[in-house]
Amino acid sequence: MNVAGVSAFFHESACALLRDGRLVAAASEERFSRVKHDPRLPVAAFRFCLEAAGLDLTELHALAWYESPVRKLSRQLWAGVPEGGDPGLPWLDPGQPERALREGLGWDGPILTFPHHASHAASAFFFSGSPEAAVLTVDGVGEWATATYGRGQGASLESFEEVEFPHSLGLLYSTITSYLGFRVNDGEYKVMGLAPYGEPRHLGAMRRLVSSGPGGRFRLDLAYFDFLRGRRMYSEALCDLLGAPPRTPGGELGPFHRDVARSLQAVLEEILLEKTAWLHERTGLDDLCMAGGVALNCVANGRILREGPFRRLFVPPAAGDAGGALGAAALAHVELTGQAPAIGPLRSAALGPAWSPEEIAPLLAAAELPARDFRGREPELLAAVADRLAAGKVVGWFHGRLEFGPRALGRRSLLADPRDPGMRDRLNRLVKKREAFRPFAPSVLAAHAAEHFDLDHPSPFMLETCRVTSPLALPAVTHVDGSARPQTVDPEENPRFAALLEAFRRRTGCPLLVNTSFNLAGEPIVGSPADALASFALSGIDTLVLEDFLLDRDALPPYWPELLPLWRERSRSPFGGGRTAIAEDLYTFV
Amino acid sequence: MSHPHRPGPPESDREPELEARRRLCQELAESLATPEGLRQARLLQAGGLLARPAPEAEPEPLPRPPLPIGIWSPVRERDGGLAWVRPDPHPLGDHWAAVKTLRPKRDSLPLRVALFGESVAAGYLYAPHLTPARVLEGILRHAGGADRFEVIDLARTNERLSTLAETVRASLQIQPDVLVLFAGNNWNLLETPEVSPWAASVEARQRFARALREGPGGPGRLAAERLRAAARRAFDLIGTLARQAGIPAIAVVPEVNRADWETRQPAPWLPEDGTARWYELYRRAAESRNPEQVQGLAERLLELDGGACPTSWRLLARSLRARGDEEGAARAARAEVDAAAYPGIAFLAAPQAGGLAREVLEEARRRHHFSVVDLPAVFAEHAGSPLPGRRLFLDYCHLTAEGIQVAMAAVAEEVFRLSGMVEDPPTWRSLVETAPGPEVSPEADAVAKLGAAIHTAHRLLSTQPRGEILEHWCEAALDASPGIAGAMVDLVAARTAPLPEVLTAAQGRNLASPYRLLLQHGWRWDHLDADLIEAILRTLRRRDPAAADEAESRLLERSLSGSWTDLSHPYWLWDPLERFYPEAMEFEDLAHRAVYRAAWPESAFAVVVEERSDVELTVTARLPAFGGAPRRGTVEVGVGGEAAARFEVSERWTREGLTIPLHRMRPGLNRLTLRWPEPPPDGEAARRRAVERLEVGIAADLHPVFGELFALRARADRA
Repeated sequence: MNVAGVSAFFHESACALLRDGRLVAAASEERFSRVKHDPRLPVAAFRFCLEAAGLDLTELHALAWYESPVRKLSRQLWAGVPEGGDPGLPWLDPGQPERALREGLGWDGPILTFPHHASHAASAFFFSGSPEAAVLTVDGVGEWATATYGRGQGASLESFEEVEFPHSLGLLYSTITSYLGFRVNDGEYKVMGLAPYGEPRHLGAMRRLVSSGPGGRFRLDLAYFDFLRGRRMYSEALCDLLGAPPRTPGGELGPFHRDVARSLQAVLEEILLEKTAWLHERTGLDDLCMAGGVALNCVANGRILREGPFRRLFVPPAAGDAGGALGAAALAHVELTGQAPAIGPLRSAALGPAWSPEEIAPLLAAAELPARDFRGREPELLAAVADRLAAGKVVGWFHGRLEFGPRALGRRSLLADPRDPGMRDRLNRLVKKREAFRPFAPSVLAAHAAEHFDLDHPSPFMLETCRVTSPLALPAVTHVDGSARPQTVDPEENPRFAALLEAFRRRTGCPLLVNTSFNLAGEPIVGSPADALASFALSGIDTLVLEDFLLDRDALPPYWPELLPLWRERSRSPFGGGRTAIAEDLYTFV
Repeated sequence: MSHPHRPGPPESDREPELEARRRLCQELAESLATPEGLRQARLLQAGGLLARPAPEAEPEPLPRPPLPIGIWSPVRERDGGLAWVRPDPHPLGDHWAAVKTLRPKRDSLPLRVALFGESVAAGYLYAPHLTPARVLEGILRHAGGADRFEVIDLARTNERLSTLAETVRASLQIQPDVLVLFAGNNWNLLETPEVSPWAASVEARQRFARALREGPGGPGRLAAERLRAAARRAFDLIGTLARQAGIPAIAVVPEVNRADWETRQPAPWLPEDGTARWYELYRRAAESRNPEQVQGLAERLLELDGGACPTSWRLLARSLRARGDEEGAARAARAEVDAAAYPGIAFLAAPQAGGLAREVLEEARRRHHFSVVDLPAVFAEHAGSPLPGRRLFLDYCHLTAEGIQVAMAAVAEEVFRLSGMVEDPPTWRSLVETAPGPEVSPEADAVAKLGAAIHTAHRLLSTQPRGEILEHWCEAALDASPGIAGAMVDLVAARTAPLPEVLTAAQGRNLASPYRLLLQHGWRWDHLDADLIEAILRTLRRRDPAAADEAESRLLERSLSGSWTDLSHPYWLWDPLERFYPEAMEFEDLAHRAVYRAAWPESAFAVVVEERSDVELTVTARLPAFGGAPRRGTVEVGVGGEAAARFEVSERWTREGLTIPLHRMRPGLNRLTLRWPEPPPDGEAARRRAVERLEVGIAADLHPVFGELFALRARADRA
């Protein structure tokens, strides 16, 4: 039984494929199209998944779609026609997803549709390895549900309570994100990163925005929100309540903004702690699985695990809508076979495409780049990389299969020495160009994690924060509140990355590295060697490792930085705002 | 789609009013999920009965002077005066003249002529080495006095009507004395996206559908009306600006290459079995060597498609020309250009000014007293033929050095006449005779001609093989400067490299050479360019065998290996323009397909084979279903024009394994073709279905899809 799950048309489309119940591939379209958060039909991801599974289209048995278009439309109709939107009302057509699967992917077989939050729930439970677990999903909105509470056992997954639109923790968070001048569906993690710099001085106001109800329920006071009208997220009443106008995007971030972020984060954590406590009481289980966009809030996740009643927490690496593809595929498998997918605990997010050294060699040859070839000499490669890291260099690390989900986990990563007090600024200056307040995350050898963090369990997907307890000073990865968001690296899961950490440890006594995603500001994480080469050229990264090949910056042609922006622009161009490939910066004909 | 999973029980304490509204909305949503429900909702929406009016938009503040002039931004100079400065040109070129600074006019002389327009006016393929503005200035100074004339180059590749008018407005800050407007090739469907089946807009599709109900010509007529209105607005503004400034304007009616350029488009759906008959007639015409027979077939094609398909006109033009009727051929070729302006064309077409541009410019003459340079008449007289071709054109509309010289001589004649600065002003004929020819280095000349080959390979879909014209331009490039052979080798190396061209050392070498190929010459075109590579190899084989060997070895590096290569990827398409326009141009969701769709009865793919070996193929294919009816047929597989295999297909995906025996393949490039079965007979029903889809805002196929491929995987079987 071969099933592909697909999510698309809202935020970061993706495809995942189960072959005989085993997860063999999953990827987001943005990694192929190079359009950040690309919501379009994941055609490249779909083709990749089939190829990775060694399947032809004729060998696929079903497609699974991650939400119910009719129920979603009923909620959209309930909310009313947004003001000032496209007068063509393209969203009125609930047949569009199926048509896209039929005509865009060419699929002529069965299509199974699952509710949005069921897909989220399945993406967590069926990949958690727990035989039985409580399941919590929380996001902005799916069809009607914005949060669901349920239980999974074997092949069975049920939800017994849900909170419905417009009452939504995800929309609450997005609203304040927007008020703070960040982009909705993109800037939420910036708000989370900003929060520790502030004080919870606006808790009272936040508690007026959202109030907890009995059981799993909570409500927003809609007077403070304007998303139903479709013009903006917050209302004037929110500005009045907080006593300040919204921050202009790109404007100065002052103490007030930090305090608002802190207060929001505190209220979110408060509610999640309360609701998970109730869920625990309701289920009596030790394991909790979480998914949905809010489950990417690793600070809240850390508190749920530390302070809540559950003993174990599993959050999948793609907890947002991309992961809906994974969940839908799992639900389809259950639907068609009556059995749970044969997955066990998901230990690795390495589900995307890979390039072998033999495939990379001709690329480097065509570019005539004087890369050092370490094929068959891994220890020497790792020694060369560790030397550079110890010397304060920033290394682009491209190895193995691309990760699924928003985090780079040692496959498409930028690595650096976490002890270097100037490293955070350097990384920002060279490549990330992100807000100075946002911390970088560390990767640590699993065996040494407890020596440096208040962490007693694996955290392979960087989805929870914990206190830094290291005897080493780790300024590049320690947040202002003394926390970090570590990835524990298991030598069995990613032997080469673990070996690199070990090589670095041997040189420096430090078994950690800064690990941040390998991408330029505003771009998706690099997918292919060509993406990596371009990002290397357009940043200030010192060294690039492409599998067994190592390139130092001085090996690059000097004209690349001038030429490559054109290539990048083109690869992003077609989507959005009705733009076509005919653009000012393009090779053109007229 | 099924809904096998149900969430848990909903909240029990929903407010009754909201719950009632929720039930209503669920009912509505279920209704919208039915074809009739959606159709009714779309009627309401099209009638403007559903959308909430957009909030009153804040009026755009009027721009405050100084205004930017195109890419030139105003800066204050040391003496307090204003100047306009542009960013440094991009290393791969950009769309504006490579003139750093523009300044206001300070003295009455030299007379300042400002040239506006599109890529033709910008000297596309020759710029920045040779531009019409510089040639015009040279002619004016030669015949009118060296210090008495200057030409400001404000032409811009990709110029549109609205930006043309804005550039004219902004240019008044530098006090031109004469405006020259050389535009019209871009006045095509890009100006009227609101009447398009391809735009990602429900309303545009609905508008298109309403026009299509009037017949195949309906959308074309509607688009022309809107285009005419847009052009009138732009020219009314320009006319008003010129009048207020008290300066004359000269409009140049563009001419296009009607001898060498062809526009091949598939036929739209035709009633009854008209579509199938059209393709059968086309096949016979394409195979025929008898011009009289081709003419007869072309006339029958025109009867069938009502003149809506440019291909039929092209066949007629070709046959009439072959029979010596140049005037008739010229008329047919003009009709071809006009038919290609149809906004629902299937394949990406080349921008060429048609009858509408002439009408608009004539109207500008009448309404605003513009002077008009009739380039078609000038070129016909100069070339001694109403069918100007490669002597004056590098491609569909861009001019050779001679073409630029003649066109600018005609403009100069008008400038002299209007300015009165030269007694007894010379005619363009004498200016062509007496003015020194355009000066361009052999290297730049060679690059422009190789650029013509590349551009032609990328944009020409013809009714006959393209090798002759591609080799003509390759030869011309080598004639201009034999050293360009190195650039040809680099081009082949970059096209065949397994990574984006921009990362290849080949492109780096080219950029460091005297033969720099810029964006306008076709870097960053993401396919193998099989026809171009063949033309380069054949030309080099004659002219520079060592370079040919090197280019060939680069090509062979991309040979099939023992691993599978999916030839349905656009990189391997022999001619990627034989994809539907939105798929070739990436129009939003329309481009986003996992499936190759054959828009022509035959699909061709490039296969590179290093040594003589069998080629193993696996094909996953199907025939498009029409109205749910089952379909069956046979696909003929050919290599190099010879039948090699066949397989059966149906409306369901099927996978076939085939082997092409070694004696069919030759080392190097091989053209692998799939000949699809005929389209289903009822074209009227297909058209009706297309209209129905467009009416509810869904993209539709306006032309037959002959077959679909999910995969066409090939590998060398050296065993």
